[in-house]
Amino acid sequence: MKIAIAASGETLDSQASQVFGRSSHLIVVDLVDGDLKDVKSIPNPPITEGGAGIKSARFVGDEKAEALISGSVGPNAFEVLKQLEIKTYQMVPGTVEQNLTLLSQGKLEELTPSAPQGRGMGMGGRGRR
Amino acid sequence: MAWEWGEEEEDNKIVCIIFNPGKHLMKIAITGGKGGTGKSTISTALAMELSHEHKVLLIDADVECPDDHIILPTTREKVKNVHAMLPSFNPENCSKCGSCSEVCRENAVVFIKDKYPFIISRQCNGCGACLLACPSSALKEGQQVIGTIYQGQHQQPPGRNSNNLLLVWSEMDVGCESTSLVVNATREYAASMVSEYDHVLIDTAAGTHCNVISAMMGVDLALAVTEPTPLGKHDLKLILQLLKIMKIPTQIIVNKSTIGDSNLIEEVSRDNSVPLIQEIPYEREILKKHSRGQLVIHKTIEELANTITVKFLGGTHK
Repeated sequence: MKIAIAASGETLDSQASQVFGRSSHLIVVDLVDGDLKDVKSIPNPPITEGGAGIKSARFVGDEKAEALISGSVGPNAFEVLKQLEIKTYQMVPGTVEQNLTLLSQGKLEELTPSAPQGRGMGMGGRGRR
Repeated sequence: MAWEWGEEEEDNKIVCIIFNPGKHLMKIAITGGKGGTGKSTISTALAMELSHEHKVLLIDADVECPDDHIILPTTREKVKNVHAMLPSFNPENCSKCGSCSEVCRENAVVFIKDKYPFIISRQCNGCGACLLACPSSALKEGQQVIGTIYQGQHQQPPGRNSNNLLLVWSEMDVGCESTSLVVNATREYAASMVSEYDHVLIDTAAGTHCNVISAMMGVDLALAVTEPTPLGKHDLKLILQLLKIMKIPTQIIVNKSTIGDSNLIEEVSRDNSVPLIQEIPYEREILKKHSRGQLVIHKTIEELANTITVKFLGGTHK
């Protein structure tokens, strides 16, 4: 099963990220019987326009991942993930590899939207426009 | 525009006089940059004062938190909803090319390879780029509600409507971001009625963003309301820069003039050659009214109304 995880770096030793849309990298791995295969890291460049979370969710969808691990997911990104039927799991502080191992053992909790459904932004909203 | 500018020395202050003899209608924006300086307080008080002799249309263009209707006792009548364009998607025509998503600066159209694109409606600002980009007409113009326009006749005393003062305001849907669309729709609605009025006052939001720009578009005069504090000074300078770019004649009003340091604002006034025409003191009576959400009636507001009608309208009293 393909898993995406928000990370603060490009390797499996990097810390898992608390944020999704504005995390520095997204790491995608193929989890087969508890083994990590085809590790791929995607830079997640910061964007100044809106919809950082949406953009990151698209990356996850493009990689055909079936699950995502992140600290929080804003309502917009959550909607995209829902549409794409991608399950989202709550990260625990630690490395990417630790989180992936925990997920394979079924020890990560499923995540719900970080903000009430509405037009709100996730982290790093733009304020008045 | 039939404006002429003149300068005149008066009490060592430069006073700009705007002559506008042939014009019947005066559109005035009440703005100022900083929040909490008294834009709404002054807008409602000035509207009330002017309405004794003139027909006044007051537009509350702070669509995120309109509060003139709290201060000014009015009837409340829903006019209509404000809509924004929202693309509607027809999968039958879609070739899954992803062009719609590529051109969307708001990332509101999500496209994943080999799947149909979908639209995050709250992220869409209705620009319509996706409609133009779609090569197979799979996207059509639809709409979503983003706010509501209201209006109300001033009631004085309770139960008796005054035809001299009409308030028009809008309430934006919570969480929606396209404020200037709602401001524009409100002004567009009000524009259908302006010919019946002598003065149109537009109470803008704080700041210098798109919604404030939309509110001030095409006005004849801007009153920049500020307070004699470093924050007031900083934000006043920003709004004056904007007004200069927009080529809108501007006058400064200092509210809470008896607190803080009056030199701060006088300096900005001098440096930018924008006259300071009215000071409103920090007074117990005014604060009492303010804290109760009541209209402020004060001699300085009378003076301001007088300055506007006599000086700026070339002395033509109705």
